[in-house]
Amino acid sequence: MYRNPYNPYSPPSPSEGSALCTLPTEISEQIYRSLPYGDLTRLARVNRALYTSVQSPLYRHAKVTSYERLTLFIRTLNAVACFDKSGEGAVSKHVVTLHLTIDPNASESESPSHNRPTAVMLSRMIGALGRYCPSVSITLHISNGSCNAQPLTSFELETFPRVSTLILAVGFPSISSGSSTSGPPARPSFHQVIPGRRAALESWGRMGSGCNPNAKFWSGIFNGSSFPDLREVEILHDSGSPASQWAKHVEFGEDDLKGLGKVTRLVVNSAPELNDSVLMGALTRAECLKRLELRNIVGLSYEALSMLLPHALPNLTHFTLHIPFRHRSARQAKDQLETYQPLAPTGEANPLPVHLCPLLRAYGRNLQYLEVQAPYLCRDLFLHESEKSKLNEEGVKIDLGGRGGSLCYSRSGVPFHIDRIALEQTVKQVRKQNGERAFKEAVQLNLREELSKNKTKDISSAGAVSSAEYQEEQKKLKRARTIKEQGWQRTVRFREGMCRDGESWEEIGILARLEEENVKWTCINDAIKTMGVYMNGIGSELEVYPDPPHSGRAPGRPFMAGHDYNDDYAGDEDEEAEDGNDAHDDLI
Amino acid sequence: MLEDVGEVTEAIPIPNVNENVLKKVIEWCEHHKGDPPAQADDDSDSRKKSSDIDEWDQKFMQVDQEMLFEIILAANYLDIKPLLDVGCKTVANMIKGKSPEEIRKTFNIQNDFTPDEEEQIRRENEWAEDR
Repeated sequence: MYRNPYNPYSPPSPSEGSALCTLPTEISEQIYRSLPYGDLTRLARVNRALYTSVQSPLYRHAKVTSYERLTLFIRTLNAVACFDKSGEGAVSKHVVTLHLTIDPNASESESPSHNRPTAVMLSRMIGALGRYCPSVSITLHISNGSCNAQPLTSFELETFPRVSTLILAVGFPSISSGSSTSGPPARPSFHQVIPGRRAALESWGRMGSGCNPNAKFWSGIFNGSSFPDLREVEILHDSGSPASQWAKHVEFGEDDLKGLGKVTRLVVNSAPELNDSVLMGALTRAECLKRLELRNIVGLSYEALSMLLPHALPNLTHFTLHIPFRHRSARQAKDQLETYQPLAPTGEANPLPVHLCPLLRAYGRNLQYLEVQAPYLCRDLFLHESEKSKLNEEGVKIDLGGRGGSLCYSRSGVPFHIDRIALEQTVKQVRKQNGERAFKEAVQLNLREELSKNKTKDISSAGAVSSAEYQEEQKKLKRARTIKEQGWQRTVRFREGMCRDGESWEEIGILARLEEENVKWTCINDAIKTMGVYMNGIGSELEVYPDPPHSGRAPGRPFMAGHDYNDDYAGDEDEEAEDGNDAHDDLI
Repeated sequence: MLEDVGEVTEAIPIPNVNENVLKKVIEWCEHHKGDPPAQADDDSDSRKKSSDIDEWDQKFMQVDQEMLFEIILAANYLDIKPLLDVGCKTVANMIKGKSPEEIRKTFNIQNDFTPDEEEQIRRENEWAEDR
C-alpha cells in the first residue's frame, strides 16, 4: 500500500533544524534549479523536509525523457491518486507543465520488454496524465521518429488531450538508442541492423519514398480531435522531398484541418509532406497563427509563396522563411525577372513575374521579427515602385554591382560607388511626400469613421480635423513606442546574390540605414561573404564566412548523411532514382 | 533596498545580517564592483550549470557551512543577485553526485525515514533517476 512519506502530523525531527532544510523556498528552489533530476531524486530520500521541498522542482515542470520513464511517471501519479482517495491527507503531484520526449526507436533498446510506443499506447498514457493532472499542459516531442511508422501513422485514430505543443523530429528510422539529434547520424550497415528493421532502412535508402505530400499526415495533427488542445507545432524533418512529388495534388476534407484554426505557432523544416497544394489548402484556415517558420521546404514554389505572403504576413508577429540554396523555383523567378518585358510583341501587357521581395516589404511592415534566407533577394525589400521611379527620373545610378552584388571596377582599378547622398536624399524626399499623403488619407479615414459613428456632424470643421490628426499622430507614436519596446528585427540573407544582375550590395547597406527608426536590420550576402548590421542610420559591416551552402538544414538538426540536397532540385526522376540506388548500395 | 527606503541621511539598520557576514558581503561586492550587469536569466531554459563559478568566488565560498548559509541569506535579504547565485551554486555543488547518506553527512541531517519509506520514495521518483 502507498503511504505518504511526508506526514504533517509527525513530530519534526531534530535534523529539520539543519540550514539546508530551513532555507526560504525561493532560495532552495534556486539551488535545485542547478541540479539535475538524478540529484533531486536522491535529495528527496534524505529526510521529510527535503522530500517536501523538492516536490515542486521535480514535478511542477516535469521532464520525462523516454517511453519507459513515462510508464514509471504514470505509476507514481497513479499511486499518489490512490493514496489521495484513501483520505490520509496526501499532497498530489501538482504537474503544471510536462515535457515528454519519446524516441520510438530508442525504447526497444532501453528495455527489451517494452514494445515500440504506438499511438494507442501513447494516447492512453497521455489520457491518464490528463486525468491525474487536469490542468497540465503537455509538450509531446517525438524524436528520431519516422513519418511512415508508429506512432505518427495512427495519430488520426487516437486522442491526445492536454497536448499543447507537438514537436515531431522525424525522418528515417535510426538504430542508435541514444538521442541522435545532435550532429549527423552515422549511416548504419545491414550487419548492424536487426531483421525487423531492414525494411524501414531499405525505405530510407530510397530517400523520400515514404514521405510524400499527403492529407493523412496533416489531418492526423490538425484535425482538431486528435490533438484538441494543440497550440504550437514543430515539424522538423531530416530531408527534402524528391522532385517527382512536388506537384502532387493533395485535397483536404472539410474537417481535416479544423484544429489548425487554434494553432498560434507553426514551424516546418524540410518536410516532404508540404508542397504547394498543401499550403494552399491550409492557407485560409490558420486564423490564430502568429508565428510561422518555413525552413528548407524544397516542394514549395515561389508562386505558392507569393500567395502566402499577402495572406499571412499582416496577421503574423514573427515570420521566418528559409528557401534552400539553388532552389529551382528561385532560379526560375530570377530568370523571369531578368528577362521581363512589360509588353508582349502583340502589344498585350505581360503578367508580372513572381517576386517575393516587394511582397515582404509591403506586407511584412508590422512584423516584430522577420528572417528571410533566399538564393536571391534585392533592393525591392526596401524600395517602393515610386521610389525607384524617382531615382530613375533623377538619374541616380544604382545598377553598379558586379557578381553577387560586389563592387565593379574601372580598367584602372577604381571602384564604381553609388552616389550615396543623391540616393539617400531622393529616397527620403519620396518617403516624406508619401508619408504626408498617407497621413492625409488616414486623417480623412478617421473623419469618415467619426461621421459614421455620429460623433461629428461636420467633417470639415477645424475641431474635427485636428482631432482626427491627433488620433493619427497617436497611432504613429504608439507604433514607434512598440517598435522600441519589442526590439523589432529583420534579418535578410542573400544566399547566392541579387535578384537582378547589376544590383549592388552597397546599395542594400545604404537603404537599410534609411529604414524605420529602432528597427534593426541584419543583411548577409553569402556570395561576397559580407554582412552588415544597421539601425537608425548607423551601420557596421564585416566579412563573414557562412556555413557551406549545401547544408540546407536548421542548426542543430540531424542531417541526411550522404544526401546531396542539390539532387532534390534537379527535377529529374532518373537522377532521383540513381540517388536512391546509391544510398541503397551504401547500405549494403 | 535603497530604492525601497528612499533618500535618508541616517544609518539604515540591517538587523538580519551580523558583522562578520556583512564584512564578507562587502568583500565580495568590492571584488565585483567593476563587473558588467548580469544578463536576465531564462528560467525556462535547461537546468543552469552549477559548475561555472569563477576561481575567486570558489575560494571566497570556502567557509564553514554556517557562514555559507548566512551569506546566502544576507545576499537574499540585501537583494545581491549575483552573490546569491554564487552561494546557491556552491550549495548545489555540495549536493551534486552524492548519495542520500552522503548528503546527510555533508549537511548534518538526520534521516527521519524508515527504510520502507525511503524505498517507496526511490520507486516514486524512479522515472527521474540517472541511468
